[in-house]
Amino acid sequence: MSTAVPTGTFSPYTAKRPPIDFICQAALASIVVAAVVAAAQVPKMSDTVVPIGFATLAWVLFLVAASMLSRVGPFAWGVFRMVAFRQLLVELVVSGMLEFVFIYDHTPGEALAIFSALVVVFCLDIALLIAFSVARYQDPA
Amino acid sequence: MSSEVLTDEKSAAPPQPRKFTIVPIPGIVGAGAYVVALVVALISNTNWAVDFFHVVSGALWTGIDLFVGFVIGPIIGRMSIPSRMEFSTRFMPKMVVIMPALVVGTLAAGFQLARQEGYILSSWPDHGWVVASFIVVGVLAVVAIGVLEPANLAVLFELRKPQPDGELVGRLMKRFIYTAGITGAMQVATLVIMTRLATA
Repeated sequence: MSTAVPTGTFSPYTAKRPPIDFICQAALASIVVAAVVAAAQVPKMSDTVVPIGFATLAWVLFLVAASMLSRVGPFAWGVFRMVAFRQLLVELVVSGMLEFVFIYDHTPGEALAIFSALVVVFCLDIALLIAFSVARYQDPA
Repeated sequence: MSSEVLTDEKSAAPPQPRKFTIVPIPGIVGAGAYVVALVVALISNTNWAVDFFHVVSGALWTGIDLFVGFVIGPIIGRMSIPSRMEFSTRFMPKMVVIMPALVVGTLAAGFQLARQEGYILSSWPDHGWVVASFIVVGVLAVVAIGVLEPANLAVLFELRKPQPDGELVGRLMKRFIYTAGITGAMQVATLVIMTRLATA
């Protein structure tokens, strides 16, 4: 039985990668907490500190993860771009549907602003998470 | 790194990459039609149409999750590696298309239904059950989108290689086993909450 690991000097299977996937997962968890706390208060947002705080945390975590891409080393950028683009399209449909329902149902302005900020970071975060998770095991060539 | 290779070791010919589509085109057409029908139902704002999409999508989401996690999953776990690969290359691309369509149908119709019925209002007497459903959906979203979907796609890309790394595939597939309990508990909680809300 032969080995599946490429015999060259670089192997995508063993390469050390920054924890982009874990940070994206933490951002996703923050998005969920913010959305649950905000949705639980509709129509009157008596407490905006918690949802805004977690929404801000989600954005910060996403930006940290995105910035880590710059020091990812040899990487299958072609696969990353392809998966990220297609995943972004999927998430735009999903998020577009949810945003449509929020607007169509006259969700109050404060809640709508928080939901919209969460929807945008959700799209970007998931695209980054999935594209990185796939591309990290592909040959950089 | 394991030396296990997911190919036929007795074959003299060099390994060929497996040919399968990660996102099947007919599936996209079907899911697209489902989303268009959902949009029509939401715009019509009729109670029956919105309720239909919420119940059908939610029931299929819950049913498929439980069936895959507790029936199909253990069966796959006992299959030989080539059989497992054969099954996965046919099964997982379909799940990539079906599950997001069901999730968006459940959530979008559910939000509108909650608005129609007044469940979404914090002043509603059983609002706590609705919030509980938000939490359940949130946990499911983190597990499904944050943990399982990346693993699913990474496995499919790996299986398309001429010599997939068996250890990597095995490691990624273990996520499905580790999260089956969480997913199962959340789906059972969904059934309890939704039947409670429907009879409130």
